[in-house]
Amino acid sequence: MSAAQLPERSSFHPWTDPNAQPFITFQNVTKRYGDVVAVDNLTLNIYEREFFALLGPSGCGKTTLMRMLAGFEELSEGSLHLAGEDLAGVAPYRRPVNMMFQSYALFPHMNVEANIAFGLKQEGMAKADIAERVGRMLALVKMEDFARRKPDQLSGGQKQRVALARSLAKQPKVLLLDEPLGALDRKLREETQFELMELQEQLGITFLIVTHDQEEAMTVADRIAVMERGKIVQVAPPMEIYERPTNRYVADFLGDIDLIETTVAKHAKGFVQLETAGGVSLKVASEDVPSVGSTAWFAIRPEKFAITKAKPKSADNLLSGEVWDIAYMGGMTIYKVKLDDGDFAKAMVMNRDLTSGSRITWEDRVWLSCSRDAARLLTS
Amino acid sequence: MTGAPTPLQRIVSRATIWVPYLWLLLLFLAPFAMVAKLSLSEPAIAQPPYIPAFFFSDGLADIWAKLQQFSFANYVFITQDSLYWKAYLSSLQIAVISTFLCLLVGYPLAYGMARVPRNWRPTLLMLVVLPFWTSFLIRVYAWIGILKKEGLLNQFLLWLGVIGEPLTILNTSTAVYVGIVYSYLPFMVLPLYANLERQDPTLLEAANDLGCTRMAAFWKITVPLSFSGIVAGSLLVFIPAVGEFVIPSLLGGSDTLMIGRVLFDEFFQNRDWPVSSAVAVILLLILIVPIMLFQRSEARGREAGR
Ligand SMILES: Nc1ncnc2c1ncn2[C@@H]1O[C@H](COP(=O)(O)OP(=O)(O)OP(=O)(O)O)[C@@H](O)[C@H]1O
Ligand SMILES: [Mg+2]
Repeated sequence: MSAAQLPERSSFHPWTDPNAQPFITFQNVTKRYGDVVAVDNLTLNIYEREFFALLGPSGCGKTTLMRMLAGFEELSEGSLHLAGEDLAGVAPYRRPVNMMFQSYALFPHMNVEANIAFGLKQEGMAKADIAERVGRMLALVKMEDFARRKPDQLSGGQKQRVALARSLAKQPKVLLLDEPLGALDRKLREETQFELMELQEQLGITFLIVTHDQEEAMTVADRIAVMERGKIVQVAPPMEIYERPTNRYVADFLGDIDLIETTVAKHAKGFVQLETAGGVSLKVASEDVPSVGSTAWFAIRPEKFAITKAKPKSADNLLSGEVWDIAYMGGMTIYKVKLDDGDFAKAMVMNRDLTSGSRITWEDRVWLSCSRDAARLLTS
Repeated sequence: MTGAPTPLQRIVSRATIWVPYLWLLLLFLAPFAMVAKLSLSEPAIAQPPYIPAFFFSDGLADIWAKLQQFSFANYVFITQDSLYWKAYLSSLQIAVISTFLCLLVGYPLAYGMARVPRNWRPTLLMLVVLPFWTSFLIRVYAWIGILKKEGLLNQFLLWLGVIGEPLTILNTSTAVYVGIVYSYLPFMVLPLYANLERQDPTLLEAANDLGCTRMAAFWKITVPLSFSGIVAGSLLVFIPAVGEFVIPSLLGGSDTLMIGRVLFDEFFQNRDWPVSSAVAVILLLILIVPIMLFQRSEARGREAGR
């Protein structure tokens, strides 16, 4: 990615602009298979040139959502618009949408080249142009040496790259990627992520991507939607969804989080005071003011906890416990601490120098502390 | 526990490799050798009606000596009488057309079966195989009842008013085609169904997604992928159809010349076992050549893909 493009991207947030026209609109969409409700009264706007990620556990309806957009499934209820056009009754081959299938769906009787050229031939593109485009696509996914192979002579990762190239070849307005990079090794995956982002800048394609890899979603997406059983729980840019999850499901789904169940004790100016079952009082900055006596969760990311052997002199929130387990991860260390009331909490420490990882060991008594702004109050 | 195979295990695993060869030897090569040998002998008024060219019980040297003075007189005779090659050609023609007709009828049938909801398929499959539960001969006889002048078909068409007077179908080549297509259809449908049912439906979605209409996707994806099923079904129909004897005898007229009938007449009417054996050997060669050519092209195709 060139540096010149970054500022442009960072100012890209049409979803905050009330005048912006959404490019793709799911309006109260429901999809049923017999008794199974795969997508449940879902409303979602996606904007042109957006890189949009769908996250959620297996079976929550991600693929179904994509298949409706590609035209393989009819909606049971609701409507679906693309660039202002109602897609009801529009055949898949008439939609400016291409999909990369979760199972790749490469044509087994055609070699790699022919697979990639398939859509272009269908379009009636000139032979020379097809050859040129196929060459570019092969280079993009680094499969030049395999152009003449048949799909059953490729590894899983290679198949995936061909499938990606094939779906990109037609340069559609919308590209649907169903777990596009799952079978790639880490290095290739990171490279391809950047390639995808760059491609999106260049071609102005709107990307809708399904992934099980949160880091990947965070890296590539302008916005992330977290789904649960056919519904969208939260849609927000990566940073917001990580820092300000709206409920425990989202908080827990994205990254690690410590959730401590508490009762609301009192409200003060700019913060809410909570009390754990063990009687420890905790403060958290919050605009929401849940009623006193109701249950609320004190949520904090492990990296926001400070862990010390000596009791900190002043801290908004202090919890004591015993080191139960240590996971050394190279760049950082994760301490699993058994709090005095029996709950567990995790704290993550960056290993800044060679000895920092060894200062605290198993069964040490430690203090976990954080400011009121580091934590978040969740009521559901 | 997996260690080195014991001697017994080794023998068993060797034996399993040899079973197909043993099968081939007992049920194909041995009878073929007998017929081939018969085709080289001279006819005679005797019991059995020929003078053997040699005996398998002769010593090897003896067989070799006799081999050198073999007479291919029977083969020469076949090439000289136009009846034989006309019968071969007409059999091949009838078999090719019947195979094509079977494909024309069988492909949509198999395609439909592979597309209906999964729980219907076993029933449909059963229905395809059901005719095998009655004797082949009875089923062909039944067609006589349907096709003859005062048969069911004519009655029905007359009743409909489509025709003014009964059609002559029985004892024409049309009746032979009807009989062959009817009898061999399951052999076309079954391999095609097995192939089509296995095809991944997401491939069609992918083709749709890349701009193909359903029709185009059928021709570009489904049909090429079912090629091996088409070939298997066609061979299963074509090979027995070439040598078919019962159907042309019962449904065909005197003008329907088929090599199976010629062979039968030669064997039982003329009692010329050597010539009829030669007819059979040539028939076999005619059938084996296309199969081998096909297998060669298959193997080459597979290599070209690498
Ligand atoms: N053709 C179908 N018939 C019946 N049920 C279906 C069908 N397709 C999907 N479902 C059901 O709909 C729900 C959503 O499926 P979907 O494939 O969208 O999940 P997903 O989020 O893509 O999961 P994964 O991450 O495992 O790919 C599941 O409960 C699934 O069993
Ligand atoms: Mg899926």
